[in-house]
Amino acid sequence: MDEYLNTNRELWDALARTHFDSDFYDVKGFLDGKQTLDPIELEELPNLSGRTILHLMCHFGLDTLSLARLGGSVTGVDFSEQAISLARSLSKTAKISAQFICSDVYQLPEVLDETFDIVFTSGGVLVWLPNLQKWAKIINRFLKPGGVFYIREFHPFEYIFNDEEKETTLTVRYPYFQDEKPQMFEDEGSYADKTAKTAKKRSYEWNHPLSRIINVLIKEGLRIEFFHEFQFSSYKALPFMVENSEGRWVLPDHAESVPLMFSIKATKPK
Amino acid sequence: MMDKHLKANRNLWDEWTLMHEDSKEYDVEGFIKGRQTLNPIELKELGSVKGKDLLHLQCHFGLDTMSWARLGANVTGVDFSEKAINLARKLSEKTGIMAEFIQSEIYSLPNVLKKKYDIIFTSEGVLVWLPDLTKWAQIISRYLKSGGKFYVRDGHPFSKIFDDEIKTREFKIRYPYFTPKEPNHFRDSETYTGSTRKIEPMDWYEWNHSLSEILNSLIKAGLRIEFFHEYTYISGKVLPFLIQRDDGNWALPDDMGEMPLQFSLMATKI
Repeated sequence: MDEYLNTNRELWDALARTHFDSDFYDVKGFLDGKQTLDPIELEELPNLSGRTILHLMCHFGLDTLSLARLGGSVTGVDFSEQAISLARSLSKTAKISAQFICSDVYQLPEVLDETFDIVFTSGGVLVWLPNLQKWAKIINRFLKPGGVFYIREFHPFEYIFNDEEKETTLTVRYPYFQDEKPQMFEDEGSYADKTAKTAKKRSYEWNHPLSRIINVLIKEGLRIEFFHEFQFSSYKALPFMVENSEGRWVLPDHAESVPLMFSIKATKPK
Repeated sequence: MMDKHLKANRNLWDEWTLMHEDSKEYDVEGFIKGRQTLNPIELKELGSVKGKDLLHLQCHFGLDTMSWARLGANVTGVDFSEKAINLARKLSEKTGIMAEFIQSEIYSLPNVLKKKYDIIFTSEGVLVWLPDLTKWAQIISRYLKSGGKFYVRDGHPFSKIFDDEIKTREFKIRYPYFTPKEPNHFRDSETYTGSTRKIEPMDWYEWNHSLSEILNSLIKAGLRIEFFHEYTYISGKVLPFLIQRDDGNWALPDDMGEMPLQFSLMATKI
């Protein structure tokens, strides 16, 4: 495993516990029955009842278990051991049946041999993947013929803007087209808890352009069913965003100018 | 009944046709002598058109249409400007290149054209003139044979949100990304080429369309997306701080990074 992956895994191991205890993730609320899936996903996902679902990059499993609550038979995968062991204990506490596997996405075929009706992934996953073509291959490998791939994700165009705390407006800073060399970040705290006492952690992230995201799926033989873009985000991705009455984060001055999230549904031909 | 936006735009394109005819950018003399006017991107991505029936939507005065004919396609060019179509027919006669030219607004094309085509082509600076992409995609689907290909190359919607009259070297957000209810209004006495003709300022209206709107309109009309490419350069100076490269294309100066400036898309009628 290379340096980038190791560094990112260390970060996510550290974040797992911080996030588990954060208000942002609200584990207590989840245990009381709160649905953690994004409203967009709830609207756009096919009926989950009786379906087998593979959740890639599942963190500590809140969304995976929420998919199970909607009737899915779920398998969650994450590369962080801390996250997976928290997910397993949550599954027990909540008495929701789910399989959790600790594996890097790319290594998954070495430890998992099923195929699924639905492959699901969401909310801040693609930047952690150095190679999207291999990722699409994995998705295709684990989908049954006729199966559905679904992703809700932060928009790559939003990622080009400076997100430092001091910023007051949209300023282009990061590359839209990122090749193999990632962007290095060094941060304290977390998006879920800005005040959390974590040591300064390094991460490596890749911003993949939309064309790459769409084309890798097509090249694996998947058919794009829809591609949606949204004017709001599920969290405060840029410091000058404001929360609207629906709990969504928007750009106060440029509400209609920048797509902040997207979703794609693609099917594997029968 | 033609609405005010369409009427203004048609008057504009009638006038622009006269301005473009003698411009060095369109270089009609060069075309008559055999110059290929198609962009290298579309030549490469569309491949051989020999013997294919090709419909060119929003063809202006037909240089690209007849360039496809020179490559062996049986071509039909459509444009809403009468002056453009008259000039196209005149050039077709003068050069002896076989081509059918039809004066029609895209949405009313079924009133005057019944054939079906192997390829539908449209390029550079076309989508902003269309108020409704859903109807546009239905027209495309209507004129494609089963298995036929639709190809578009156009300015990238992301780059269209930025101030294109700014005096400084920065990205300043000015226009909406998501299709607004009302089009953007412009007024100028100049076109995008040089011209010896002097005219009074004219009004025109443009509609920005989001990528999701472009892709989904085609998918919903029964087309399958084959690829979606994004490019860091474009043939025109669409933002004031772009720099011309050796190959004639325009791109950001090195220290400003990269921005998607144009895209191309191929889709097949299922």
